[in-house]
Amino acid sequence: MSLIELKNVSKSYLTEAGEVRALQGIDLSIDSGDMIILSGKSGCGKTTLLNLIGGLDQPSSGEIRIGDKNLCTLSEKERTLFRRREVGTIFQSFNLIPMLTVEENIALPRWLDGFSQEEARPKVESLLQQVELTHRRNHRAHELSGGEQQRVAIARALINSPKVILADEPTGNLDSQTGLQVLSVMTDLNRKQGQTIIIATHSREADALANRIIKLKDGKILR
Amino acid sequence: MITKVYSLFILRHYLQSWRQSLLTVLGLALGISVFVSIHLTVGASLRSFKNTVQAVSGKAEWQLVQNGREIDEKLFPVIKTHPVVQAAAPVVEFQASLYRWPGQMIWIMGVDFFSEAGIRRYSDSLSSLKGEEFLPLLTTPRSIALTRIFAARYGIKEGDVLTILVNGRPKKLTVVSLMEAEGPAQALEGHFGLMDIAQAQDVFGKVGVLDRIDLLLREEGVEKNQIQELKKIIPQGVRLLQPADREKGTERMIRSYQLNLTALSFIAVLVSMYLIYNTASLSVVRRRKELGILRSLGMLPWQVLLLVLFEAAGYGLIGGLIGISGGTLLAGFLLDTVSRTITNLYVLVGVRELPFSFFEAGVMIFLSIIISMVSAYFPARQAARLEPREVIYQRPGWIGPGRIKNRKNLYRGLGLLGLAGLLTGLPAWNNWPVGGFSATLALTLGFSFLLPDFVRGGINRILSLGFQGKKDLLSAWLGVNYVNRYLSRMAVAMAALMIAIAMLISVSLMIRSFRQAVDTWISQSVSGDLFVGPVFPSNQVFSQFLDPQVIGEIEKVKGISDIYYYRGVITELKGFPVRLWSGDLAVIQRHGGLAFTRGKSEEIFQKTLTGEEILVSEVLANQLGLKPGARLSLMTAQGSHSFSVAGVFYDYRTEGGAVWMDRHLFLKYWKDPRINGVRVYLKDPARIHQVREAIYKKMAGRVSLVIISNKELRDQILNIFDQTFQITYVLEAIAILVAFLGILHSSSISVLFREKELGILKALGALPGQIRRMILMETALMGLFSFLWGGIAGTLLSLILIFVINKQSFGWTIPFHWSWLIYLQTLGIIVLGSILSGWIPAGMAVRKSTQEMIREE
Repeated sequence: MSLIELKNVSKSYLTEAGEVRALQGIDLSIDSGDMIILSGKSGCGKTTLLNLIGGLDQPSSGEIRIGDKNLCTLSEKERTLFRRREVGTIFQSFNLIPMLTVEENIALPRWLDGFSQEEARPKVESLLQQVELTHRRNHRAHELSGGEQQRVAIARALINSPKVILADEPTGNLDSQTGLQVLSVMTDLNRKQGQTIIIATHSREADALANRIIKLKDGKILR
Repeated sequence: MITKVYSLFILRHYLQSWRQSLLTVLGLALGISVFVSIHLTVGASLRSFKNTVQAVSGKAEWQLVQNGREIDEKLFPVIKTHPVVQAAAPVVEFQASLYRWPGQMIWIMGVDFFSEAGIRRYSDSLSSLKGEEFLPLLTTPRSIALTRIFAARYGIKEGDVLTILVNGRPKKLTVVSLMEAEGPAQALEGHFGLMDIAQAQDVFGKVGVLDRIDLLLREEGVEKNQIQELKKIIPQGVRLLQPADREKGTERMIRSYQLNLTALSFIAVLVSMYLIYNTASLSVVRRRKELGILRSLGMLPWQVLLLVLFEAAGYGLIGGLIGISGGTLLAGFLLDTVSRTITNLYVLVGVRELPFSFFEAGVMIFLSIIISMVSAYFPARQAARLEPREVIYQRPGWIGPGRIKNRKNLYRGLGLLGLAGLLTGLPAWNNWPVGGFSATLALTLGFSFLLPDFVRGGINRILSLGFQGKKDLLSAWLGVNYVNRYLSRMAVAMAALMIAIAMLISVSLMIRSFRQAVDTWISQSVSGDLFVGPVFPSNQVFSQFLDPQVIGEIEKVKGISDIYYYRGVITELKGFPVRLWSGDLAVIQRHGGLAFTRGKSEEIFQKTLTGEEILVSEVLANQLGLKPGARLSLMTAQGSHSFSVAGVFYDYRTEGGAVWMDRHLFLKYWKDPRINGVRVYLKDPARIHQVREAIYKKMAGRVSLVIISNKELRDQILNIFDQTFQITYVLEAIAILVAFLGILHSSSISVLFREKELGILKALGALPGQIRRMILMETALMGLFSFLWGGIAGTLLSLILIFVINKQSFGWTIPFHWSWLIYLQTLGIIVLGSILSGWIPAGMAVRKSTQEMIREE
């Protein structure tokens, strides 16, 4: 059985200009351990699709299943807990909390889940090593380079051992060299740990790393 | 581990925005300190009053008193030997002025030490009847025991002579003993003296009479309802009361005074609540993205709610701690004013120290935390409802479309104004103007909701003046535009300032109208060229009498056309103390009469001069629903008697109401010819100084009299009036200060929010002076619009204060008195304060480097 199943998912937004159909009739299944690239031009619906899978938004119609959970039937609280425990999200603009240190930013979802500082520490240590930021642990976000900030965001996404990592243009704010480094971290995660990863990007360099590329245009999957 | 998240976010946010945090804490601390200071000062006076009552009553459960006069001492042995009586102690008391320290009082109690055991306990040296130090009070002629506190305060030692004034005559007392502050010696913070009863009767001119008899009844007697048996032997007019009941009315009036001041002090708290609301909502707007990230990482909505509430609770905790310290300090300054006002209005209180209790401090801190959390609730709820997806993808500082909400605010505002109108029609509940206070709150909130629309309308009008593009006015034009654009962020701070202004204007208008009413009333109703008596006409007047020999000598002074002899007693009516004045009303009628609410003055006076009819003050008439022709039962020295009300007159002197009757009625029912003082009418008012000198000369060296002219009396009354309201200005000033902190806070935040825009302006060549002028223009506009809206709100509020709250609380009719000066003064303060509040944010914007301001994230 697939890890992620989307059946006839559509999403529309009401704006002052009228209704905008961001996604239309999306059918998609993603297996555990997949590394998926969502590609397409700006405004094609990549971010909307990621938001739906990540429980940040709800579809106008259709059904989304992740594991044994139907996201469409989850309450607000259950969706929040789903985001906390079962997905890890990486944003283009990193979205780190500026006033927290690297270590604290990574530990944050763990603390939210009720773990004490001591209980969270081994996992934080291991992730700091994995993203090679042990020496920066006490630095704040603005003291880091873009690549470093994105590696912190990756570590934060992994802290609660999620079923799936969702990355929305993770290299969009980085130079190409740093972007490649970030993608390499994610490839390693997928290959060595079998982590399911979905990356929304229009960077062509990422295509080679994926085992599946899904192209979107005007809210639909191109077959 | 959510606590870790909370502590990290809250503490770091405090540190990161320390300026804003400091302003918020300071604002709240000021609000709390005002509240605390009123609680402490009035509370201390109330406690002093209750302690005094309790201390001098001792264990006595009952007291025998006669309304408005003393009891014949022959009653004492009859009472003492009654089977139901376990212990009885006769008391003579006197409130005397200190000869060497004008204006200072001592309360002296004369007791029979052989009857005291079982009723009162004195310090160890006086507790035993066989004690050596006790005997001198009996054996030394005209001797007194003072408290150690009193003696230390005035540098008096054992063996010294203390001179007091009794009915204007100096009396010398030898200090034979000093008491510790125990038992009755705790009364009036030590301004207490103890004498042997026989000596006291002699010194105070009360030979053969007692002021009261304190009683302790046998338990079985009370159970078997033998009180009725006791009542049978009590002469007509003498009443058996419980001490606490006697003072309930006074206590109620002090509590009412406390309530009004507390309501006024709550304005500063209300303004600081707006400040916290402002801080919390701006903090939520500013940290939308951060909160969105937390939500996207799995923080639950209620956890976000708590995060914002806990942050506010932190302000409450620190603000409360500082507020308590500040309040105690402020209370130290206000204590004298408050206790003097209570003494002037109700009863003598002597407060020197503020009671501090850790429990009360804890309650205040708890209140401060609750106030902060309540203020932050709506922003917290807004934060909890943030949709993480929306927030994450929005630019920082984004605020949602407000048009629909504004319309909602318009409806809410209009609805609240309508509600305020309805609430003013509610009758008082237990003399408590619930409707009036609620209407004040509804009106204030209503005006707050309507403020943004008012400001928007005003700004559009300013913009339509067409100064766009005029280079000299560029800064002003930008400033006006910014206020328009960032109105939603500035509106709360403006509303806070608007409330403070509205309250300042309304209270000032009310005080001015009241003062005018008092002034007019003095001219109309207080006739007489000279007022002569042993003390200044005040609460003390009732216990001091003019010697008949002195009166005879005054009558012989040349140049006098008429003399009005007056006598006042305090009686009780439905649990409230009522001042009863008697005198030859024909004299009053001849010299201007009184201002009556209705009816012909001549007819009213005629009824009082011939029949058993009395006059009641407007306050009393309102309290009891009395109209001319109604009947009123008064407790006379002969027992309860019903009188007919001939007329209702305006009177602004006494809060509890007053009854006037002609001297013939007083003599009939009190059988007491003594008088407290006289009003002297001159043949030629221009000879006032000569007549006064003539009286002084006659009395020189024998009697110390207070002789004041009508003008001096008017000045004194208005002086006491001004003193009474002095405290309100202090409270108002603090509320305004808190509101300015709000403006400073909002303006600073607004500079931070649009740092990039300001940076771009600087990059485009805007000079520091232009940036500074622009921000000062913004704060000046905030002040100006708050003033305009607050002025309208304040005028309406003053009508509620005068015609609803005052009428229901006190029952006075106060004609509304308009004054432009109040508005002009307030405008000056507000515009100046607003510009000063803009100085710091303007400096922040000017000092920061342009490069840093326009740096991309």
